[in-house]
Amino acid sequence: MTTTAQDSHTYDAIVVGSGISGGWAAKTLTEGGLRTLLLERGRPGEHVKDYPTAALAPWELPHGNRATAQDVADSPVQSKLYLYGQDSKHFLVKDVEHPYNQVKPFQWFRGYHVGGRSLLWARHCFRWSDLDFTANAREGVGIDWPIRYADIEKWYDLVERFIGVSGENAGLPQLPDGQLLPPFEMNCVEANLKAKLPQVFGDRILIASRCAVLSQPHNGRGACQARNRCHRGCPYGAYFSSNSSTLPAAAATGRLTLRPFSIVHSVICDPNTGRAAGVRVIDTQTHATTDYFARVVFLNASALATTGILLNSACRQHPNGFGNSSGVLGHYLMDHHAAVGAQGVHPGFADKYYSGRRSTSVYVPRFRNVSTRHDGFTRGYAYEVYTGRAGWKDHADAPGIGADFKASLTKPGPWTLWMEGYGETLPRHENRVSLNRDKRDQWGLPTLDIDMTYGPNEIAMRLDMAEQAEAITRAGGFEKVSTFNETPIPGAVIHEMGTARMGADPKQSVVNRFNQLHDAPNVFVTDGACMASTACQNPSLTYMALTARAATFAIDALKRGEL
Amino acid sequence: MDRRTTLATLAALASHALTPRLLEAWAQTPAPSPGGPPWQPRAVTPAAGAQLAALVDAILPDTDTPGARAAGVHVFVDLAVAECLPDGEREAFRTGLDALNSSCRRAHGVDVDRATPAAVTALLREAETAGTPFVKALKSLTVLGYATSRIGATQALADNQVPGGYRGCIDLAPGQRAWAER
Repeated sequence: MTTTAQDSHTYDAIVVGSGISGGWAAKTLTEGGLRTLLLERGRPGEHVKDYPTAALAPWELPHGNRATAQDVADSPVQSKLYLYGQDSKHFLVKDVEHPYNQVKPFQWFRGYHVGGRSLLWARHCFRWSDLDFTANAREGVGIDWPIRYADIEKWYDLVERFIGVSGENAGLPQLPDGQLLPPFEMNCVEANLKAKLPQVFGDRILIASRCAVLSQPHNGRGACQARNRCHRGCPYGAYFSSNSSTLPAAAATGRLTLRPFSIVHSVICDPNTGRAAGVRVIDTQTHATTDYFARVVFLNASALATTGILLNSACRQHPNGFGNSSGVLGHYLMDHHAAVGAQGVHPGFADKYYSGRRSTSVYVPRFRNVSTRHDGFTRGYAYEVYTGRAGWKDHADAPGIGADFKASLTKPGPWTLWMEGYGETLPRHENRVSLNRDKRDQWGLPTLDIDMTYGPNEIAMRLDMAEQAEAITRAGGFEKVSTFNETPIPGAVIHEMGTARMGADPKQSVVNRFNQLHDAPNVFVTDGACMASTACQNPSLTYMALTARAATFAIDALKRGEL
Repeated sequence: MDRRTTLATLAALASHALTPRLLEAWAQTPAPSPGGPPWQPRAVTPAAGAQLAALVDAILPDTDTPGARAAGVHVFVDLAVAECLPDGEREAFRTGLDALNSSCRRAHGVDVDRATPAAVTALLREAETAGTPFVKALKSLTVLGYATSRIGATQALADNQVPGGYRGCIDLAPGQRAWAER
């Protein structure tokens, strides 16, 4: 079976997906000495060179950055994203080209290009604590995490030091302190709210969010210029993306081969061992199929796509999908729930303003079910808070015609606050992704049926999220306070988690404590698919830490001849 | 901040140099040229296009800064109607514009673009008070077009494309305009 052709298609490691976790897998594996093939289904994308809108002025973007009717027709889901516009749409797929099936409403936001959604993420980086890692076990919900904070702490350190996270430590047990760069400043209403919160509530504080946005130069990347145009790609490299950070590091080793336009059709099963021999790739442009071989395979295609690959890789040894002897592959799909919170207007500080556009938020860490138990729901939530002086967008619908109306648009308006809760979602078996073999994409691959709803715990939590957002807003001296609690659409927070959950028991989980498939230990799943619960913190930092940990484990295991 | 200053600032502040290609592309973006060929509206008739120009200028007139017509907002609105509005709203926009012009003819005997600015302003205020959906749609597009135009963003608003850093709490300067971007 060893031929010249196979040799040229053989690597030490294969990584599927170049987004946040795939970039970390590629960096760690190549730096560990492994010749690594990184597969990306989308087009190439180089740091700076492929950020075509990064330096465009407002008047240089068509339609005032608004989506056209054609954009909406091509991308009925993607065009609903808060940052969708003429400046960012090239970083989001056309839905018509990449169909999936909403068994129930599910917004699946995707970017198919090198770097994936690492170019578009909202950059918030919060550590999980043992309150999160022990929650399933304490409550008998889902499956216990086989790891605890002590297992991941040093990997959080490593990741934070490399990517650069600015923000504020608070000494909270439920939100462990990190290796942080100085925070971005608060404005005057935020500083006022920060001072008032502890006076009104014993359990609530306001901190500068911890975000992968550089408040000072770091590891050869430039400091944030306060343009708040992150989603166009940052020419300064001031926020963390695969393109600006992990992929250049991996390439610098000389051991990285990056192959774009490469959809992974399936994991190839070694018929003798039941392990992975490699992966089968479809070239998106030629539709040609090529097999690549490696000793280890890292799946980092994003939660739903990773599980889709495994489900599409059934073989004699893995009849129900690769690594699915437990039968739980595809199940326990989760996303955070948001679109609930409060807004208000602050009467004072008319003589104060700010300079620059901060691309981070301020944050109220979780306070529910930390030291006391809430009657109505389990787990908790946190708030991202955004404030500023009203501007032309806020006045556009105000009544008026003529000079006075124009003046109202062009003067700094009153201080406003908008805060949104991000809540934990419980894992439930019925929330799942599965293959639809009747509806295929343009490459003949089965499409995904996505079937998820929020449950009673989330719905109950949301009532409290709205109420407490109002209380916090009022405590900050805001007036004209109102709450919002929209029907949450799964997927909308873009924190898809689960479907290949981690656990100690191979009969009830898909990957073990080092993210190896129980059924095939040379396959690692280190993207959102491995998550056994969601916590309420933004998940990317944890994906990165788990990936660095698993990839280091893989390198050591290979050296010991155990893989 | 004019383009030259912005470029200099970018170059000075970039610790990761911008590629020459990106800077070049930006520098070559054409500025609005007043002496170009006559405007051909996309979504409405040429006559209605002239009316549109009068209406946007009544909403945001010349004051100490240029108004919406000078900023080319009528061109923006027409293009947005042609390319951004769904079919139903596009037709409703045309009908609404026509209805407003008809009421101008009834009241003043001339089309909107021949009426006095005061008459057009009064007409729009009346229609807004009556809750006319057309006026709401027109205002929304007019504001977007003006605030994102070069004139609107750099003269009526405070343009600061590369702030260089964030300062959270500063004294409001006398005459400080609202930031163009957020």
